[in-house]
Amino acid sequence: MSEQSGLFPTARSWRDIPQEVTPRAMSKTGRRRYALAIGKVVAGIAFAGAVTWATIALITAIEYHPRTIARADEVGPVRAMPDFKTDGVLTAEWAVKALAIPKGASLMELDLRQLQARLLASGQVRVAVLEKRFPDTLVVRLNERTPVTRVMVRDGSGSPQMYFVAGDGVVFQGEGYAASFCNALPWLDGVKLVKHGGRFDPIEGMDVVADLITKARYESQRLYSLFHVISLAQFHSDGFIEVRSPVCESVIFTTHENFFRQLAYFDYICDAMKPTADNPLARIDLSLGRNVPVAFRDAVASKGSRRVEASAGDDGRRAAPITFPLLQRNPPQREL
Amino acid sequence: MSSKTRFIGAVEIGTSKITVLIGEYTGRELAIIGYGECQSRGVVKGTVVDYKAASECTHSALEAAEQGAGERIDFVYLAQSGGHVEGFYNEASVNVKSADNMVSMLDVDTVCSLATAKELPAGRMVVHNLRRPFRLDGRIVPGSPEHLVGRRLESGYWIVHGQENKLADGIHVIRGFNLSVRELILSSLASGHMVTTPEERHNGILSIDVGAGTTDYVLYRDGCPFVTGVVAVGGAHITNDLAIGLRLTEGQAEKLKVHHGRALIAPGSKGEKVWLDGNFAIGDRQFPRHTIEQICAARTWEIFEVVKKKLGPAFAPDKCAAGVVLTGGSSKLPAIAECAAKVFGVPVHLGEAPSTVSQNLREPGYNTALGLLYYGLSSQTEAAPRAAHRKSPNFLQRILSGF
Repeated sequence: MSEQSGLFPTARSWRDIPQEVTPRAMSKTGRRRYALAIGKVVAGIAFAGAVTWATIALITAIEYHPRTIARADEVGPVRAMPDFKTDGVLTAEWAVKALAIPKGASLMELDLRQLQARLLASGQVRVAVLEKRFPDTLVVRLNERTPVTRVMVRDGSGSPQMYFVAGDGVVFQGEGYAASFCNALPWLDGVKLVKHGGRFDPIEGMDVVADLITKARYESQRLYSLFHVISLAQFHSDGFIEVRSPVCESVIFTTHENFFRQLAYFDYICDAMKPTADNPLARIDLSLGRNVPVAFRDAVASKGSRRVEASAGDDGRRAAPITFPLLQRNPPQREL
Repeated sequence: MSSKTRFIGAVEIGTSKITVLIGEYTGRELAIIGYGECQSRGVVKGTVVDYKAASECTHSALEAAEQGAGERIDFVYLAQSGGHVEGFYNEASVNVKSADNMVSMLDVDTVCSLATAKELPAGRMVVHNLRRPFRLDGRIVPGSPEHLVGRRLESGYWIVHGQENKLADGIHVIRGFNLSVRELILSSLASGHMVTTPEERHNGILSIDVGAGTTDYVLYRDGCPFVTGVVAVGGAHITNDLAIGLRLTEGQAEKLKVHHGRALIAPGSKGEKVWLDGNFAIGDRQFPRHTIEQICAARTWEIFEVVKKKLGPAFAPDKCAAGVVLTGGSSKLPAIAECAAKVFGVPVHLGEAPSTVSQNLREPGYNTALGLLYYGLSSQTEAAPRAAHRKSPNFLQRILSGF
């Protein structure tokens, strides 16, 4: 038929009509169908390409680099030093110690969940991700907690030990921190630590305290350096955070007000009164909003056991609430 | 769902309505799973005259059918009608080549190629090459003449052709929905396939599809389509005559035709009057039933007369033993069968879809769409063994066919 058909003239059939139309001539639904059809073809080609590439890569690997394809029965003992990375201060040596992998154990023998639990037991580690990289490497990725305060704990033996408290309230012993970093941390007071299963329960409300400390550090390093002791004695009952510093025996912050504003008041009072370690203030109460009562030690001394709180406008040293209008004179610098 | 399952759309872009059926073809059986219909716009006498309007209607019908079926159509069988569609007969004969006078496939191919080798005027394209039975030394061979012994092999084709740009318009309307037209099927062949049985086709039957804008007919003889044709007159012309004759709007005339029209004048209708709406509202008025029937009967008679005239000597009552079968939306006109019987002089009956078709698709107006599916599939099944000889499309062509 095909040989014969070329000999005779043939009329054009309707099948010779080109069926292609431009997308402009299509309806909205037609264009949508057209796009879907193209998408299907592209996805099909991409899938076919990916399969081809994977096949070629596999064949190449088998043919030329057979060693790159690890076999389960050829897995050797795990390396002593894992592939270790952290965002904190812990070291690979610490990880080796914490993991306590038996010598000569292979990757196949490792229980990653158990190893992860060992790492998390320290409290300093927030997240631990472990991965087996065949043939012999254990990959460890850590995300550490950052301490915001420290606390001295006297355990059963009676000897005091320093613990760190993270922003989420977790109390941990900590390892690898520089002495300067540790010394800069304020002490935590007025909390009762409860031990369960060898670990202290997280301290409630630490996120608020951490917020105050972070803002103080952000506002001014000088202010932060004045935070020597942070007491949470009245935290749960009244929402007060008491800060003790060399220049003021007691600074009362409240959780009901903006910390930035309270820190600005504190900074202003320090600038205005210029208290020193030799001549510290007795008490600054930032919990009363615009009125900030300030108590002086010399006034306390002169009046016996009573503290004196006087009004602004009087002679400054004798006494005076620092009133709000004074603070409003230069607000841009404080970003209140 | 089998990978062989295909969802075939049958689209009839008619003058009064656009019908879409979706058939699920599993390779063995066909099930109608979706149906969409839309009032036609931009189509006059079976031809697209407003691409945008026709596209909107067709696409909304396609979308409705797809939503009803919950499946996407793979390809479409499109019905073709219109006054531009014509046909002619061409035949050829060859001497059997082999020494023992046994007909070979080469002889068959040669005579078929010769019979279809007919150049058409510019702008015309072949829609169908409808083969009539082979003749071997003058005797009719119903099937393939291969391996039969004879000296002279004859073959004839009824070649149906249409105007290229009008054929392209219909195809592009479908393509605008990002669907391809797999088969372009003459409306008369589709509806005729649906309302006639193989036995009737063998005995000889004339199938007339009276649509709104066109009347399509096909005359079967010896089991094959013998002559086809399209008359660009249909039910819409009866409505138009009523509108002009009785000074009505088209809507009112259509209402009168549907409720009181008749293809033959009833004996007792003289003096009887009918209401336009019958609700006694302002504007409702009476018309003589006799006049309505006169107008309808005259136009219906004329349609059949034109069909008979176009058939010419091809139609002979003695070679049309199964008579005439009427289908199409306008075949619902009362007494139309009697009217046709008077014109053709043979028994006439109204065509019905097979009982396997669901009740809501058994209206005569859906026979074309139904026939598209059945005729399209049967013609493809017949063509499959021949197509198997051709080179199958390669991988890249299959991917690109996805567009």
